[in-house]
Amino acid sequence: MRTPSQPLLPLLRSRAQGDLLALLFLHPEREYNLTEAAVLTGVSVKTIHTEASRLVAAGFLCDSRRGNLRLLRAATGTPVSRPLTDLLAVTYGPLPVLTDLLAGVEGVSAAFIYGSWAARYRGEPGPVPHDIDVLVVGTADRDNLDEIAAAAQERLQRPVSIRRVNPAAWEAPKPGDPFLASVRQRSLVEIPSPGHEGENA
Amino acid sequence: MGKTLRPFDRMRRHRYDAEYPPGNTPALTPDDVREDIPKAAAIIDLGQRVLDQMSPF
Repeated sequence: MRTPSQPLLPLLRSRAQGDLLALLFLHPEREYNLTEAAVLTGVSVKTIHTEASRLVAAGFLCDSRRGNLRLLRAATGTPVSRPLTDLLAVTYGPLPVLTDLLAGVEGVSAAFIYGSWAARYRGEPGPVPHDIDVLVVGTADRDNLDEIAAAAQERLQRPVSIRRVNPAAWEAPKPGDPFLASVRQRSLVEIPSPGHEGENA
Repeated sequence: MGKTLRPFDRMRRHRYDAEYPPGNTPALTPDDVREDIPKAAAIIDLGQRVLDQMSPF
């Protein structure tokens, strides 16, 4: 399936390509099989296979075989790898970076990116997002979330704000809550967590 | 000391948002405030303990 191009980085042919590159270049020490990469980027294995073949042929990714598994990793050490990593961090980076940072944090029932980055990711045209807005549903300690925001900010090179709402308010927002009403009506990108995969396709 | 003071900046931002709601943040709830009371009390307690050891400047 070809995913539509979208405004986060219009140089790329599709969002799936950006998500795959970001996953691999922001975890250069790791190898992913096609199924893992598909789950983490929210697209089909066939899409990952197609995108990976193109990127391997162009020297951006390396692949290898382990039994029946085809493993992918970023081709590091090329003249392109460092600037491409930086570019991916500031465009497609929020999803893999926040997925890493929020993994295993106690009290996080669900987490979403909203605001301008989510809008661009969903294909709404507009200027480059200058900050990243994150909503955590749960009871996580807000000072822990503040530290995670600071760590994300350093990697993503722009302000990151993490707000928290309790699960009851998220499930049944009060009619007079303009924030939750607005967030639910606009673009949301779920941040995957172990055992609770995001639906970003 | 750092761990005790760590919540201060966040609470300061929350206070500002409560006074001047920016529209893109969740409303502060009574539970949010109750959750922070022990942290605020710990900061005050720390201040009381170090106050007489601090010079005016």
